[in-house]
Amino acid sequence: MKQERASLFLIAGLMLAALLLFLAPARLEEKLKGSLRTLLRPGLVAVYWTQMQWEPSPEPDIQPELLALKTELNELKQKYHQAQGEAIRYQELLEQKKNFVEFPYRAEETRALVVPELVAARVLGQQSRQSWKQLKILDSGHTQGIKESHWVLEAHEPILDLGEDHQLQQHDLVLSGRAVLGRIEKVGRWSSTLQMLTDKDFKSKARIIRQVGQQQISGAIGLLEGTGENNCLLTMVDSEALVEVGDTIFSVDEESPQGFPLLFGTVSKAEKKPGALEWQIEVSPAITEQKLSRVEILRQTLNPIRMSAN
Amino acid sequence: MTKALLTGIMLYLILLLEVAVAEHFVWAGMRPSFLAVTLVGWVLREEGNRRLLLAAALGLLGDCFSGGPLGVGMMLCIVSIWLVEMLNSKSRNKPNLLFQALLVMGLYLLGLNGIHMLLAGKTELWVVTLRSSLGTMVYSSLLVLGLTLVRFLLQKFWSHSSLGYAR
Repeated sequence: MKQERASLFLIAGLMLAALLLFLAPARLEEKLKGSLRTLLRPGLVAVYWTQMQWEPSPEPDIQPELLALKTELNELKQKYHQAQGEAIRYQELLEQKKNFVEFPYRAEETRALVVPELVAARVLGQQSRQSWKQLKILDSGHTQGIKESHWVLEAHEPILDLGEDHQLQQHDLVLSGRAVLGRIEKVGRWSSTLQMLTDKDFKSKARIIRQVGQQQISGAIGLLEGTGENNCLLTMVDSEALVEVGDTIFSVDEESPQGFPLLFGTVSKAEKKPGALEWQIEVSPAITEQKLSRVEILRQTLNPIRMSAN
Repeated sequence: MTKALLTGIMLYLILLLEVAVAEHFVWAGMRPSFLAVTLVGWVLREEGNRRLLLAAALGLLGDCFSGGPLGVGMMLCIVSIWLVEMLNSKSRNKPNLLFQALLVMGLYLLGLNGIHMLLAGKTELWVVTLRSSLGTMVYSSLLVLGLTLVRFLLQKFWSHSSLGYAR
């Protein structure tokens, strides 16, 4: 049985129509495609709705991913702070080099007597802290004359698991990456207490740094003080100085290890009252994570090369 | 009139299947083409001008959702119908349906993907395009076979039931 054939005129006509559509301007093509997609939309919505009814998607467990992303974010922040600190330092060195006047005699290079050194410490958890304070951990050694400092045991601040045994000293800075978390307040034999940046007794000189393009512009120097709340204040900044929300607060040269500044935080609020001589600046600390378990302590040690030379 | 309305509804449903449902059938990187399956069905079942018009409409609708230029799929559908008719007219025996189905599907899928690749200027991806087209073709052919089997079994069941009822 032979099948009925299509008309050759129809074939030619349809081919011509297809060719015309192929050569049609993009505007017409988009219009046609858009109209068809609009026409199909109710059906698509119905399909989607049916799918949702058929298999309600289970709540995805995003916690592991969230945790991994938070960790990655913290690592990136640390790298950024480090790069920012290095940029400030190298920019200052460049400035110094530019202003340096060549002297006919070259000065002999010497090594510093005191060098900064980082040691890693752990923040004692709630349970360990209680046991430590109640001398449970030390019980065995207590009778042999081993005793932790009374000041450390009585303190309410977080406790770090390093003390005099690691040559820690009061006011050593406690860091997380290149950002300052606080400093050592009381040093015991094996442990020490951490004074957070936001502690009302915390005080440190700090300077304002503003990033303009790729330049780090060093601004006014003030006194960073903890408020006892979640933030700090930067006081003693002259009202003539340039301050803006978002400016970063770094350690001053003399408190920066080998000149590499450390980050305290960012300006969250800056107000200048009419007639006032100083700015009122609020600073958000760079490290806001309350559950830090591992920190670094910046301690000052005698340069071993100098010691061995003697 | 009713037939035209039913055909329109069918086209709408096929488009929905192609756009929204086909992605749920992806298996081993292969995605079935419901448009190609319908095209084969119409080539085998319909005849004359109606077959040509349906194929052209299907090709045009496919073009609208393909991301490529308009008219390419339509042309391929018309050419495939014309080729089938040419083969049928020259053959003295009963037309080979399997060969026709494979010819139409192969021409449509390989031709469409190949032309899209050429127009995008990505000729270096010809292996990927060929593999994807052949995968779709195999998957769609299996789908056609499956549907034919289901139809055959249903027909069998229906004829048995009718006979039983008649007795």
